[in-house]
Amino acid sequence: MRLALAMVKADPEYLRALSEAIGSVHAQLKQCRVCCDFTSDEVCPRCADARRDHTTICVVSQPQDRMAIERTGVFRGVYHVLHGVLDPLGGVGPGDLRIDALLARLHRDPSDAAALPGVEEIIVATSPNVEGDATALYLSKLIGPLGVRVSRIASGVAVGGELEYADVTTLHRALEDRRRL
Amino acid sequence: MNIQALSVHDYRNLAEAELSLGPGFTVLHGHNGAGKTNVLEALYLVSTLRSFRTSDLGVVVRSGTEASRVVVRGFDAGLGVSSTLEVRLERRGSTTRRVATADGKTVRSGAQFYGRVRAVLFTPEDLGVLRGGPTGRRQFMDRVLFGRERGHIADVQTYEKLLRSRNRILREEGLPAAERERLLGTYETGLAQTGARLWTRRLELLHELQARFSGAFASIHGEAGEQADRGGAGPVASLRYECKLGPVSAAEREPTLLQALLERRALDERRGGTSVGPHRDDLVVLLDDQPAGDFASQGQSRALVLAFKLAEVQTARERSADGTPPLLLLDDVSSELDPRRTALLFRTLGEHAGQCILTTTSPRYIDLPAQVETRRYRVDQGTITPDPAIA
Repeated sequence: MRLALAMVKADPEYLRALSEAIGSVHAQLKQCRVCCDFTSDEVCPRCADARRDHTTICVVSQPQDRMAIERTGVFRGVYHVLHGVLDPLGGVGPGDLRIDALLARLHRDPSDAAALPGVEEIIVATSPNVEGDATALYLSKLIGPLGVRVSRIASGVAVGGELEYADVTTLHRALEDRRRL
Repeated sequence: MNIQALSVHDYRNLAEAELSLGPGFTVLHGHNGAGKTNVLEALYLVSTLRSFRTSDLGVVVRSGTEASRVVVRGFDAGLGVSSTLEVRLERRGSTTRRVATADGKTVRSGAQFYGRVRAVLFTPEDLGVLRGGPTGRRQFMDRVLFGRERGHIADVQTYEKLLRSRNRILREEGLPAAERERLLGTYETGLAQTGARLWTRRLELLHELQARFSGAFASIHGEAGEQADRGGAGPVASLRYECKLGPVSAAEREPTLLQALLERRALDERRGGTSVGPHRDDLVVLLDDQPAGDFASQGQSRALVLAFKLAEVQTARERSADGTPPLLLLDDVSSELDPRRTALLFRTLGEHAGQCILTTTSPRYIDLPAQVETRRYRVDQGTITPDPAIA
């Protein structure tokens, strides 16, 4: 409703440009050939950026999650977007996720000197719930034997929150995944 | 929390009802269908935000009205303050909204509301648990654990989801072998982790209840005295957790379960379901080391279930910070018990329970110990009136 009212007030020229932009979403937007993130080019700006660390791939389930991690400014590696999580009950199997594309990134041709350095670590950044955990575990079983380190983002007590109010499951996990100081 | 007063508005057949509760027994008597159990159900609702009779809370809203309200006023000995809790059920079309408030403030998360009033419930349906299938007995254990450990509900839900996922993969056709291995391995790892936690909690629960349960059974059933004259003791009641994997030390439970799941893949595939894990375990109630479900008499069964409830009350009291026992709600507790057994039961309750609210159709058989304060109410067609006359 708020959106509709804003349109009524908006400049007609702006509205025309907006409607064209909306109309071309499907034509313009593609999935990056490397990481499967949404982009308007063949290869997304992050995969094309040689200054990023291409030996570390952060795996996320959807583009929004990639954006959230990118906003932290801490991660300087590259990403891979699965476009979903494993959910046998919802009919989502490994074949429905962009796992083949991820595996393709791990195979490097040793004779190709121009190729990017080999991948050393995969960080699985799926949500800490049944589906996200299963996806992470599945990837570790798939990729671990290939000699690539697979790690999982930590989960636990929210930063800035009060320990007293954390729910039991979260606290349990925070204790299990504790870190040595 | 000790409850001092309960008021119920438009709850099933109760239009308006006010009750003041003492520290001891509160007896509700009346004919079948008068509304006695509705009072217990309302108290249970404030404890758990659920009904023990229906999963559709819409049906408890009195017909012709839009909303039910249950208010309890009590004293929290731990915090040293009086507190008022209210649960409102608002019926809107086919959905019913629950609104819980504590001292006028809305409590949004159920987890923050549970536990303010702790309650242990006995209903005649519980008697079927002993003889029925293991599902009922697993629920029996898990319900106690829901009230003790907040993480248990989440673990049970996670476990069920992982279980259904593994079963789905077992039944799936046309998966490449390596893929199938990996997927099964994924869900088995999760099942072993969560399953070991459920297994451990249930074992710890039974371990904690064991001595209390045996003691409570002996004093409720009371054959000790009778048989002692003949030179023997009464039957000894005990609890046993039955698991296909046998006794396994705490640290070994997860790897043992994982290994068992792996070994049973072929078998489970033929059966189309997972054949090992806490969802297949059982609680066995024993009388002189024999499974009581096979032979226990009606009276013994009742005493065994009540002994379990009483053990639950006692351990909950020991675990609580301020030593307040949970509210004990007994629905139609004395039916089928002879007067001597009933007297033994109430003597035991008087010694070990705190606040106890019970319903009965025959108040004359309720022989309560004189030293415990007792309040009596008559329930008739949804109206509750104090009734000091019956002694």
